[in-house]
Amino acid sequence: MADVTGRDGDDRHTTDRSTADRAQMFLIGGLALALVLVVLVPVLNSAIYTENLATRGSSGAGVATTFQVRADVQRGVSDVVQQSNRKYAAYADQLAAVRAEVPVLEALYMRYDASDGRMLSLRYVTGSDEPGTRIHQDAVDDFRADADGNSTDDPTWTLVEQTPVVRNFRLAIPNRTTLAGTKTDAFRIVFDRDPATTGDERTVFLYNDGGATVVAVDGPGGSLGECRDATGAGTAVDVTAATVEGERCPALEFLDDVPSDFDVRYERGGNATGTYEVTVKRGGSTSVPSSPYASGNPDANDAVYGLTVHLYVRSSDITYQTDIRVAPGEADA
Amino acid sequence: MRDERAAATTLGYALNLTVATILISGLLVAGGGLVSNEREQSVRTELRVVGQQLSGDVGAADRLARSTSGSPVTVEVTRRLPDEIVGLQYRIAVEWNGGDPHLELSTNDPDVTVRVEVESETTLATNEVQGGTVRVVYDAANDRLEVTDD
Repeated sequence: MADVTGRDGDDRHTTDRSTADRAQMFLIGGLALALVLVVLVPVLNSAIYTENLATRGSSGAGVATTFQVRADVQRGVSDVVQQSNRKYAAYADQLAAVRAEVPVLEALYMRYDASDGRMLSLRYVTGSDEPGTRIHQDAVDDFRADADGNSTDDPTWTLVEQTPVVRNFRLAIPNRTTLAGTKTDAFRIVFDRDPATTGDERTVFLYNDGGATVVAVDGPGGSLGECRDATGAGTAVDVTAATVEGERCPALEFLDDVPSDFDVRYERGGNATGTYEVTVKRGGSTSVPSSPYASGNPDANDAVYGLTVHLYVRSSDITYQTDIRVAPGEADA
Repeated sequence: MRDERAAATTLGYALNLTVATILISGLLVAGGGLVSNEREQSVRTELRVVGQQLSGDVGAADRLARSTSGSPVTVEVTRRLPDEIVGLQYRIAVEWNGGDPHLELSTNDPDVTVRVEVESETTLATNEVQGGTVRVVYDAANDRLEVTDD
C-alpha cells in the first residue's frame, strides 16, 4: 500500500514525540486559562447581584408611606374632633367622644396597614386637650351682635378677648352687593393685641369694588396686600387657611405674625351679610363675652380646640414614634 | 542530514518550549490581571451601590426625625446590607465634617475606598460600622443620627 501518512519513515518517532510535547503545552496552557476564567465567574456574578440590589426599592418608599400614615392619622383625628364638636354641646361630652373614637380609628388603620406589613398604635395623650369655643352664625344675617345687652345689635363688637390662637375662621358672603362699596365703610375684622393702644392691629377689610369682592389686609406697618374675587354672586373667605374662594391669598397669611393673646373684633358689622364660624382657644386670660351670644345668632359653644395623639408605626424597615398635635383648620397645623 | 542537525533540533525544541511557555504564561498573567481588574471594578461598583442605599436611608431618617418639631420622636431605619462584597469584608465610616456629611466605604484587599455624599440636616455621629445589617437611629437626647451595627 502506498504510505499516505505524509511522514518520512525515518523520523516518525521524532515527529510523534514533538507532536506529543506541543499538545501537552497547549493542553496545560488551555486548562490554566480556563481555570482563570472560571475564577472570573463568581466576581462577575457578584457584580450582577449588586446591580440587582441597586434596582430594588430602597426604604425610601417605606419612609414616604410612613409620612402618609402620619398625615392620614392627623386627618382622621381632625375629622373626629370636628364631628364631636358639632354633635355634643358640653365640652366634657365632646372630649369623651373623641377619646372613645381614637381606639376605633386605631383598629381601622391597623387593619388597613397590616396588609402592608405595618403595625401601628395610636393613643390619646392624657391631659393634652385644649378647650376652646366655637363661635358661629349659621343663618344668613348681618355681622352685628348685641354687645352691651340693650337688645339692639351693635355694628362694633368683640367676639373674644385675649385668645392665644384661632382656627377654622371662615366667612361666606352669598351676595356681594350687601358689602360696602368703599374701604372706609367696609366691614372689618380686627385682630388686636392690646385694645388700649392703636396701631398694633391687623385688620381684614371686606368690601365690594364695582362687582368684585376685595379682601384687603392692613397691618402695623401699612397695607399687607389684597385679593379680589369677581366670580359668582358671593365670596367665601377662609382666614386661617388664607384662601379667598379657594384661591390662595398671601395677604391673609398674617395670623402667624399676630403676637399671642389678641382680641377678635368686628367693626361696621352692618356692612356685610352672610354666615361665619371661628373656633378660638381658651387660654389662661381668654374671656368670651356672654351678651352677643345670648340670642343664639351668633352662637358660642364649647368645643375641643385641639389635642395631641401619640403614634407608633412599625414595619420591617422602619420604626417611628411621635406625638401629633391635632387642631383642624389651624394656620400651621 | 538529520543527524547533523541533532544539536540544533534540541535547541529548537528548547526554544519552542520556552517560547510556548512564555506565550502561555503571558496569557495567564493577562488573564489574571483581567480577573483582578474586574474584581476591583466590581468592588467599587458594589460599594457605590451600598453607599447610595445607605445614604438614602440616612436622608429618610433625617426627614422623619425633623417631621415633628419640638415633640419627642423615635426613628429607627433598618437596612439589610450584604455581609460581604465580592467575598470581602467592608467597612462604612460616617463623617459629619461640620455640615458636609458623607460616607466612606472601604475594603482592605484590594484597597478600594468609595465616598458617597449624604443629605442630612440633622447632625450625624461620626462612627464606623462593619457591613451587614445596619440601623440608622435618631438620638433625641443629643439631636443627632447614629448609624450602628445590629
